[in-house]
Formats: sequence, C-alpha cells, structure tokens
Amino acid sequence: MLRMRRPTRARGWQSTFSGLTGLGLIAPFLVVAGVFILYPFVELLRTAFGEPDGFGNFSDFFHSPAARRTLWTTCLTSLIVTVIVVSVGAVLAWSLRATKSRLTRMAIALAVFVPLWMGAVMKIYVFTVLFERFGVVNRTLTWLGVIDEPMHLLRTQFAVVAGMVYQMLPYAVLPLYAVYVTIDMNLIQAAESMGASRTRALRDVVAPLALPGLLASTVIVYVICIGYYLTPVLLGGATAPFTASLIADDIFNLFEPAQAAVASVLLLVVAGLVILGGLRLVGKERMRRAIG
Amino acid sequence: MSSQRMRPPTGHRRGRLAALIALAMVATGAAACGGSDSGSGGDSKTLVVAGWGGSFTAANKEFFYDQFTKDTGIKVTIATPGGGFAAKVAAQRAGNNIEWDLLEAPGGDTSKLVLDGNLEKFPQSLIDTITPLVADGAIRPSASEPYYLDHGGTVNLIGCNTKLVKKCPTKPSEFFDVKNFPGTRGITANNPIFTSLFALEGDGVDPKQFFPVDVNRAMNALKKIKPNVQVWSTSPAQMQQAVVDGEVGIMQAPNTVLVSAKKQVPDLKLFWDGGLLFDEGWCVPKGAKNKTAAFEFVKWYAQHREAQAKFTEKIYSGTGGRDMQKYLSPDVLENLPINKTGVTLVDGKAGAKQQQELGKELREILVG
Repeated sequence: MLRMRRPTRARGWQSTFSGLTGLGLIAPFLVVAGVFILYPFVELLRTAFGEPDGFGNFSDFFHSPAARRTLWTTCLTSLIVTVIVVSVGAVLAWSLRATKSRLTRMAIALAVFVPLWMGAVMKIYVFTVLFERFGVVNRTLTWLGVIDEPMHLLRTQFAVVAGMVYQMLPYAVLPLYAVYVTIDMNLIQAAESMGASRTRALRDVVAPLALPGLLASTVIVYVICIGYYLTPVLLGGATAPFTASLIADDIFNLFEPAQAAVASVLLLVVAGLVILGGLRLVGKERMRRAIG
Repeated sequence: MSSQRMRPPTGHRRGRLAALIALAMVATGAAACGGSDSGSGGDSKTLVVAGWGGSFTAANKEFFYDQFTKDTGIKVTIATPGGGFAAKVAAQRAGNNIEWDLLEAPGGDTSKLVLDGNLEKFPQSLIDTITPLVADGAIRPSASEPYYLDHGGTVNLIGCNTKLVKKCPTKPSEFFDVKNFPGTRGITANNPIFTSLFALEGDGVDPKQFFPVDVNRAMNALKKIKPNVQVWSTSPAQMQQAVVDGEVGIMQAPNTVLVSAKKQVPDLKLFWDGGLLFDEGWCVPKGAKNKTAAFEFVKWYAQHREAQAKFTEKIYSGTGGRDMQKYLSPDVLENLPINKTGVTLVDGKAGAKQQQELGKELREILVG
C-alpha cells in the first residue's frame, strides 16, 4: 500500500491563491484597463466638460442642427439596421440549426462567414460597384425595363443601411445560433404532435426560449452600429454622416476636441442606456448566458 | 517504488512564479506605455509625406519620391489624409505625436499652419542652397518667414461630361444656374475656403471682393444648389471616381483630378473661367520626427528641375523651380493653370483667418 506523505502546510496545495499572488495575476488586466479604458475615459470626460465652456460644451453641441441631425441619424439608422439584421439573422441562424442538408448549411455558413473574412474597405467597395450610377443594380434594372433613368443609390442613407446590414449580419447570426443549439428540437415535434402547426410551434415554443438571445443580439448589434465610421463616410458621403464621422471632423478638420469629446460621451450614453435596457428586459444572468 | 514516490505539491511555488511572470509583464507593459519612443522613428532614413492623394500624389510619387529614395536611400511613406492638413497637424501636436514629416499642402492650409505656428522654419543652409534654384518668391510666405516652398498650384475649375449633359455651364454663375443648365453636379468640399469662394463666384461676387468672405451669402448659395449636388467630395480621389463612373455630369474639381479623369472620359470638357488657383507648398510640421530627411527632400526637389518639368507635363500643376520655361514646351506653359485667363490666385493667408468659421458653416449646410 502506497503511503502518502502529508504535505507540509507551507508547501501544500491550496485551492485559493494568496492575496499577493491574486494581485500579481490580476495586475496585467488592471494596467491594461487603467491605461486603455479608465485613463482615456477620464480624459474624455475632462475634455468634454473642460475648455472652452465646461457644461456649456453640451449646449453648444445641441445648438448645432448638423450635430443634432447627425446624432439622430446615427440612432435611427442603427435601429433600422438592427431590426433588419436581427430579423434576417434569426431566420438564417434557425435555418443553420434546423436544416439537415449539408449543402444548405454550408451555403448559409459561407454567407455568414465570408463577410467576416473580408476587409472592411473591400466590403464597402463591393457596394460602390453595385450602387454606382452605371453599376450592377442600375444596369440590371434598366435592362429589365424597371427604370428608365439610373437611380441615385450611392451616397444615400439606403446605401449606408445596405452596407451596414451586410457587415453586421454575422454579429447577429453567431450569437443566435449559439442560443438555438441549446433548444431541444424534440420540443417542436412534441408541440406538433399535440396539434400545433410548425409556425405555432416556432412561435410558442422556440421564440420564448430564444428571446433572451434575440434581445442580446439586438443589444450587441445596435451598440456596434452606433460606432460605425467607414461605411457612412464612403457609402453615405458628406451629407449623411454618422456621429463617428462628426467626431473625426471635429478633431481633424475643425480641431475642436471639446465638441468631439461631447459627441463621444453622448454615444457612450446611448450605448450605456441600450445595454441597461437590455439587461433590464432580459435579466443579467440570461443576458450573460445568451452572449455566451 | 521510486517512480511512484510522490513529490510534495508545488502549487504555491507555481503561484509565486505566476505572480512573478505577471509582475514582469506589467513592468514590460508599463515600460512600453510610458517609456521613450526612440524606436518610433527619427532615424532620418524614412520620410512620411502627407498629401492629397489621387493623381497629384501619384505624380509626386512617380517623379519625386521614388527617385529621391533611389538617390538618398531615404524611404518615403505616403499618407493621404485628403485635406484639412492644418487641423490635422494641430491635432497631432496637441496629442504630442507628429505623424508626418513633410506635407504637400495647399495655400489655405500652409497659411493656417504658419498662422498657428505649426511649421518648422527652413534652416538658413537650406535657404542658401535652394535660393538660386527656385523662382523668386517661391520660398513662402515671405523671405523673413521661410516656411514652405512653392510646388505650383491647383485650380478648382468646372468640368462637364458632354456625354451626360446637353448644355454645359462654362463659368461659376452658370454652374449655380440649375434651371438653365440641368445635370447632376459634384462640388469639392474638402476645403471650406475652396467651396465658399466658388459659391460666392456663383452668386456673382467679383474675385476682388472675396475677402473677408461674406459667409451668409456663400452659404445661402450652397444651400440653394444643394438638392442638385449628388457628390460633395471630401478627397480628390473621391471626385475622380465620381467623374469616371459618370456619377456626376457637371463638377467643380481640381485640375489635376480633371486632367487625369479626362484620359478615361474623353467627353470631359474643362472650363477655366472663374477657376480658383491655390498654391501648393512643401512644408515641415513643427516637431516632425524626421525633419532632417524632410529638409533633405526639399533640397533634392529644388535641385531636380527636369523632374519638376516631367511632373508639370503630366498633370499641369506647375512647380516652384526657377526658369522653368527652359524645361517646358510652349504648349505645356500655355496650359499651366497660372497662365489661363479667368483664373484667380486666391489669397491663402486671408482665407486661413476664416477657415474655422467657414468649415463649421459648411458642415451645417451639408449635414444640417
């Protein structure tokens, strides 16, 4: 029989680290968080409430119709994109989960993953080629006789929405798919065996189970959307900016850091409110589970 | 049984080791964040040039940057912010991180940069070397303030694609007359002075009365034409793309853009009447990491008038060299922006004083 020597107390294994060890392990995170999150955030607030007008910087911001319109456009366009992306994403993710055909699964997976692999500029350039005056869309519609004159598609809000939807789709599909795989498919069969139609089974059985995931995806997509910069600049042009391009304009063209900081704080507030709203609706635990 | 002899658990030691590694990482990270930036440049073997982009920068690369690298071994990296040089340099200085060593910037920006004290003064040795090689007055804004070297000029003029437009506007007042001259329009909006002065011209203001800019009048003219403007370009490359793709039939754009686009759009006609000429200049932002290399480039540029001639022949922009008529054909000379009738040389210094105000108002018109 093997005799085990009892470990001495000083060298013994402990399930918890000592305070110093714990502090040492968490130190890199604290430094990174301090340098890259906390310090910039404090600087941001200092600039927003600093020179030239302190709190008045915020009233200066809202005094400008351009700034007000930009903030409104950002929030509204992001909402439209979110609704489309989550709706389409929910269907795509469910198809990915439910289909038995390998071909369909591969096709959907490719459609979802390819945008993730492509560079942002490349993705936007694709839409430029599609939407330009004599681009693919206008040529096709003219050829089909749907329109007589080429439509104005590029540098419009429509182009921005289309570009953003394409880029954001994976951010809705992936978390939703992660939620759907936790749903037992037998539940649908059980509902159907009790007389429910497929639509009713999806509505009454799948939807309630997927709701936290849907809401979590909505929050993720919306919060990412409001920070968009490149797509509105390149597909929307100078007359359809997002708040991020307003911030860039304030810093790099007008050199008004206070106004840029105010716009950034407002974006943070919007994002914060959306996240809080999501948490309130879904609950902290379910939201955490839905995000994975 | 020796192989089964159990060694005392070393969890605590591993914990200490982990803590040590973590602390070392923190120390390394802190050093990287707060340490010196000696590795970030300043070796004078690289030169970061910021420019317009599009055909102007492409021609600079073809005739100057590539050859300069071959001759000196100094690698040139090109950044193309597309405009707004003065504000961007101010932002970089405020952030204590000057990213560019040399600018190919237009008059409005160079004047604003001088006004804000954001440029390096040319060293006396450089001035002594280049003075015999550059035209009188090419070191600007004045002999006592040697901050930038003339690099020709760009004219914002009217272009018209006759394939898309039946009746072309030939001057700014006709450009702004959307009723009698219908067609999709594009206006250059990457410099508020360019855009505002063009609007004033369109509203009938004589170029002699440009300054101080009547902001309300300029903005009202832009507001009126806005529904007919499809592209407000924020970079020359953007306008070039819009012209080549036929997105706009009538446009106000830099001559470099239009001359380049004409190769792909043979039906493009240029109208110089009411053209606004802004001088371009080579200047070095204050605190540039490789300012020695930047001044070396300025000297090299002045010493290579043949290269300047080839550059001029390519995009008709002009350069700052002395006696350039010896290097250029009469045809090229005749087509230089400065020699075109109806073209006005804009007072960049006067414009710089209102640049901020005009920038804000223009944004209100475009977005508000």
